[in-house]
Amino acid sequence: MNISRYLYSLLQLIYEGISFETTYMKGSDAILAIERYHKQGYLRSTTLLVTLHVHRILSLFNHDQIIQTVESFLNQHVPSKQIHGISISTMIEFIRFILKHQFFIYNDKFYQQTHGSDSDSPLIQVLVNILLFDWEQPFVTFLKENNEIYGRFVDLNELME
Amino acid sequence: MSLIILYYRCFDEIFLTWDQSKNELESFIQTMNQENILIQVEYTASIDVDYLDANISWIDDDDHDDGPNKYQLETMVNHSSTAEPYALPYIDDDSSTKNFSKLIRSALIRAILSCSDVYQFQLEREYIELSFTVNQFSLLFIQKHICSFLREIFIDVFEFRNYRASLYGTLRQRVIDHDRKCRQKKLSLL
Repeated sequence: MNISRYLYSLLQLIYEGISFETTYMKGSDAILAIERYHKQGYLRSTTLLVTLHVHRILSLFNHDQIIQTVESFLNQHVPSKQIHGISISTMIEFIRFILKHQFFIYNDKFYQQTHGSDSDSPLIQVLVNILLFDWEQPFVTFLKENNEIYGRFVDLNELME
Repeated sequence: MSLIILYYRCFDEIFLTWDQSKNELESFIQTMNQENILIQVEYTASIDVDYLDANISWIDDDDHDDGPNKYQLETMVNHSSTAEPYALPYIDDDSSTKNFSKLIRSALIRAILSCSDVYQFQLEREYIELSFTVNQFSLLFIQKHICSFLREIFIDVFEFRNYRASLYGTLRQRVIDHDRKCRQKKLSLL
């Protein structure tokens, strides 16, 4: 197994455990959620359905920023400071190495990628997911304070039955 | 008064419900875009949206002009994001294994999870049949797989050209339960 795939499996484990309340896997999850929401009478004639798209995040994210975010995310959510025997600082060094060693050739010139990633590998996906998770927290909190968030926890209650 | 809203994200796509004015939504989006200059969102706010492979509409139904409940929630599969019309529905990551009966199966599961209404489901089933026919599969092969799927999930009573809403409702509930069990299994592995 290559290092990128290995890091992915470690990070994905942590990320999914933390984010499942507000994460969808597929479009039909949104349908089932809004149906339950409707059944409980929350959908009103004035309710707007809103979709947001984060613009070109894969090619735009800042390397140092994402490393910093992932590091503090792990420090916050992994009290033992290691996953399967790999310490957070080792993981961060590997991630830094991968992000800082992205090269390509265009028109016979050699380039280094300084922002984002040209690969949509599983590792890059989970790194961006962690970045966006961190970014969205203030807004989720704002929405929670002004409204009540109706999230994945409803599914969990049903799962317990 | 506190309102209940939905909020979910799948990678770079976010779905939420909004109960305040459009102006307030715009200022909320503005705050989001000020947080990090490299993370910018574009939004659509409507009563009919495409989100991932789902289409959700919350529309004023003129045909049912009786009382306050004339708004109707209508849901279906969104095909606009697929590269070409009637392309084979590669939904799961593991469907690249060229296992076509699995492909029909996952297309049907998606159809049933997505369509709350039996008529929408039948349209989607026709779409699935057409997609596979366009891709050189015989109609017999496709229908054989659809039947065996329905028999597995349900019982052989469900004739797949059935338009009875109550029967479809029962079928759909089983598929939803099946999907939930799969997710539960996944969660317990974490």
